[in-house]
Amino acid sequence: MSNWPLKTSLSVELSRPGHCAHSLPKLEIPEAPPPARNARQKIPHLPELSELEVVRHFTRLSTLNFSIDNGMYPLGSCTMKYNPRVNEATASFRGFTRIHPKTPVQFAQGALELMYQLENLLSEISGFSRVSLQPAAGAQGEYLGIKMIKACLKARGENRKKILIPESAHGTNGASAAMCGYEVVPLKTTAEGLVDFNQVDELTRSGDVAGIMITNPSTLGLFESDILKITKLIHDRGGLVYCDGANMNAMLGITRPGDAGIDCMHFNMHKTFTTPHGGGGPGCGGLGVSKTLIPFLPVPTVEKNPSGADDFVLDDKRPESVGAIKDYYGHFLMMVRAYTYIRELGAEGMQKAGQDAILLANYVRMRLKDHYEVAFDKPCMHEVVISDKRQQKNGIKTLDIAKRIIDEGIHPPTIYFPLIIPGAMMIEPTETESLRAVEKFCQVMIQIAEEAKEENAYEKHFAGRPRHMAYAKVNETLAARQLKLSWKDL
Amino acid sequence: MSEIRKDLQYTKEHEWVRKTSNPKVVVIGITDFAQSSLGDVTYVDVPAVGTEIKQDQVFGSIESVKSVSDLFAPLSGKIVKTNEALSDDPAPVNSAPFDNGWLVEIEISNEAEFSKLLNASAYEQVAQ
Amino acid sequence: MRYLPLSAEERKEILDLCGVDDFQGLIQAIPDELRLKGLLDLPPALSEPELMEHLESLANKNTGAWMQSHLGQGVYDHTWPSVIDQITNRGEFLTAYTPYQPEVSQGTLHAIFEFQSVISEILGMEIANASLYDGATSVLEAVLMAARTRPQNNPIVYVAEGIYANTRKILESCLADQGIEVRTWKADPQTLTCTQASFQDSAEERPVAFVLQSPNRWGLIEDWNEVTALSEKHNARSIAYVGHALSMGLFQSPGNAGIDIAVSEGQSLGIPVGFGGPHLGLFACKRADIRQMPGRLVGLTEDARGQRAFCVTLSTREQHIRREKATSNICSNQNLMALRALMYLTLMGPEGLTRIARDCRSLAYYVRSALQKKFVESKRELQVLDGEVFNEITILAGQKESLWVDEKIAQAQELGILVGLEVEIPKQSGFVRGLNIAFTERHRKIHLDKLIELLGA
Repeated sequence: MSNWPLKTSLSVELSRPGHCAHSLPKLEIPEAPPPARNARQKIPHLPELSELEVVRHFTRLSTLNFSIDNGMYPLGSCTMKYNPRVNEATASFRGFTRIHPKTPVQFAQGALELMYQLENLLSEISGFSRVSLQPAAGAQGEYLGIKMIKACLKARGENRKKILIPESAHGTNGASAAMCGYEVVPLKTTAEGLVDFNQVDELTRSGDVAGIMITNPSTLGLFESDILKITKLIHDRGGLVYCDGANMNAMLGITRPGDAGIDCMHFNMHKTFTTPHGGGGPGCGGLGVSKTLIPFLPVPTVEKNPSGADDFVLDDKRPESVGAIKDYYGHFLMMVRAYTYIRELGAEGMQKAGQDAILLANYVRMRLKDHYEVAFDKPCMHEVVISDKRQQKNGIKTLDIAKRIIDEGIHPPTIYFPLIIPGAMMIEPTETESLRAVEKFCQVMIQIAEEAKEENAYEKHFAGRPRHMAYAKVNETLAARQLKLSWKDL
Repeated sequence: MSEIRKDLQYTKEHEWVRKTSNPKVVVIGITDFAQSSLGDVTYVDVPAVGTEIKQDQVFGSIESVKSVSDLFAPLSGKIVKTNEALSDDPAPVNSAPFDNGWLVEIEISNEAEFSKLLNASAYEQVAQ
Repeated sequence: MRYLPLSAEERKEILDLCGVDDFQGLIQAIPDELRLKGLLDLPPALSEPELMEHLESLANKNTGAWMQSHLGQGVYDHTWPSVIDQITNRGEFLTAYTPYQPEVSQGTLHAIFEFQSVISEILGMEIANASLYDGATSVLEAVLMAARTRPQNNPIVYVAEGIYANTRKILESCLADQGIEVRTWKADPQTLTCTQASFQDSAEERPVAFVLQSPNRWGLIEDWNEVTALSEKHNARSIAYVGHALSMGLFQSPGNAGIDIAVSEGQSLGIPVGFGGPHLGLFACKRADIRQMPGRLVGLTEDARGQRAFCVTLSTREQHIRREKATSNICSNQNLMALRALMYLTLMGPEGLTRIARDCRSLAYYVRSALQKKFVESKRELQVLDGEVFNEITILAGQKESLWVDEKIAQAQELGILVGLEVEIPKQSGFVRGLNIAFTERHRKIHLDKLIELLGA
């Protein structure tokens, strides 16, 4: 990362009349007469820059970013693993980038075949009967899952209104349930952050619970050992089970959610399957479903040609389908990346990935347990939750620790989530990090814990962090109060 | 230690009530403890003058950068005044929660409801 | 394995540190019946050269990517400057996380701020967000936002008949979950545009919003003033769906007509067609509605040293804080695509944007004039839809020519041309089928003449 000349300009500030960076072919045919009505009155005020000015502007901006290519992001539940570059190469083939979604299927067989194969691979990995790749991101996958549950219950003649969601769940869970018109009933988790079976038992007796949204492994990095009991109970009481698949990385080659009675689970391809985060998106969702939910899959689905020929077709004649939640088929160019990754790893690689992820998280747990309060003193899955409980005694909080870590060239872990552990720091090293890199992270954390014990620790070590980055603490309060969202507001 | 004014009454949701020279009108705000847990306040959302509010029910919210907190009515009544200065600059809610950071004035509808409020020492137990 | 650095020795070292004999010792929490006993049944791992070969052979089966394509309906095969791929492939942009720690994400945040600026500029609106998934879900979010600001018992939204068929389907699938009914604002059967005059319902139940798309699915330019007037009359919110983002280089912006919420599909701004995704949803509205706006927002601020800086703001609308009371469940934005669109508009500049819009429209006019002549001469029940267009035209076929569309599609394929997409035509127009044809700067005179010869035959 750069300690670049600190004044970054906005492109409009660099703009000079007459500079341009476009290159368009000359019209070989007559120009059409200007629009008689509805013509734009004022040319849009966009910057005028030469190509070199544009390249410098964006290159400089890029150097202000931390990224996986720069250093480690031990962000719990984000699975910030390496984004393989071969994926970028395959995703840029003309046959993938220049194919229009409405191309007649006989001219788009490569795309359909890839989608079909990817769905099968994901089914095998996750244990689900079928997969939809239509969701644009995890949140859309959640929405689709709940929508399908709703449709399934409706088809049974049921009109249940409630969905159970543990308090430790990610915020999207409740939002997705609400978008489908469900009432959210919060579940208190056990002291271990797991679902309380007895509470579920009590709440489902009334018969108006449509289902439960469970995260497994939980948002605290622990496996729901009672998962089979819970799914059976929900099914016995006439409901369905949704699983948040954000933590799929812990399960690769080790266990399969589809085998545990889950009815649907969304994938985060941009977590588990290495499609790039891109600074906040695009994501790439996907939803694995059990046999029960197959009739409700969104359309169109990709099928082998029913006539028995060797090719693939799109099927949108599915009478019980929930319809479409997104235009076309999903984030196809991200599917290409995920497919490439899965084909590279194979079965052994997939299992090693899951195991190494768990090994490294437990390594962090063992290295840090003498210095930080670990939420649960037992083996974790692919992530471990610690808190600032010990450091608070000397006035140092999680936020202070996070900002302190930045100065060591490492991105802070996920902070203040899950909400049920006050001052939580959730650490997920991921399997693409070397042991050396993870050990370096642990040493940084230990050093910080030592600093936190000193007298006047805050002033000496934690105030005014980050101190060594191009930017010091950014004033989020000012941003929210002044609400300047465009250069027009300058 | 957060500040607690002895001459005010409180709710366990960290609102305070101040009587005025008019026995039917009170001022409502949030306590020092509340503002410090919230962090820097970025937006105050209270209903318009004339709106009826009911004791213990949510009547508005306060936003900080990282959270949103519901405001619970300490007493039932009708809003007669709101602190409009806060829409340009909500900072007084943090810097002077008992003074310039007041939120609304209401005309109360039921004097008996005062018995549900906490006095300063009772509130001190809540604001730990 | 190149992405899995832990060696056998290192794995043993970790197991020892954890005080367990083998890996199973770490997964005791997983019930035995759920632990996989062997390896997954996946195809054998491929090396990089094998991967490239395999993926390339799949890509090559997409022969449509090499055909002369006139497919449109919201997704357009435009060109983009090479700089965009080069810069967006930089690891600092590609592999960066969501900018929740602003001190180490100023590249992303600054870029989003510029994106919000250029999008609000081309749409003529006060504020724009950091993007949503695509055009169709942006319309959906706009309707949901309108409904939040106009709470009704049985909410209805009127959607112009000229909206893309796909978008309409998505609205119907998803609005039902929130109890919102979708009704059609019928188009004038002769002009195939939606106006106040063509609105036939009485709308006694107050609708929450009216949605108008321009260019519409028949390629025609609609008048934003029609939807603002109609909305005002019914105390509803007006929603403008800009069917082709580049049309903003030539035609009136929604903001200029006083529209409440403007959305668009931004794929034409430097983003590949990519078999449908990832694309880019543009969303803009009035400042007064900011707290009801879905999606990420980046705001201007400063850092502790007084430097200008940016950060994600007003997160209190979003799911991670409001949870089930959030304005939307959306978590991500289409960041990398937004960066592409920003770069596209920055590289094009005002002159380039105006020029490409004018040029694409000239291509459409050229083909339309030629075909109109040929159809009149041939006296067949074929007509090119008249009216103001951007880069798409629609050929209308009467009852006698009901098979013309299929014939031409097939003949075109023989010549290596994807001639266009069938589009539904209202019966009262007197025509039974329609063929929609899109043009981009990839089409040279030679392509256009080939097309005219094929269709005019």
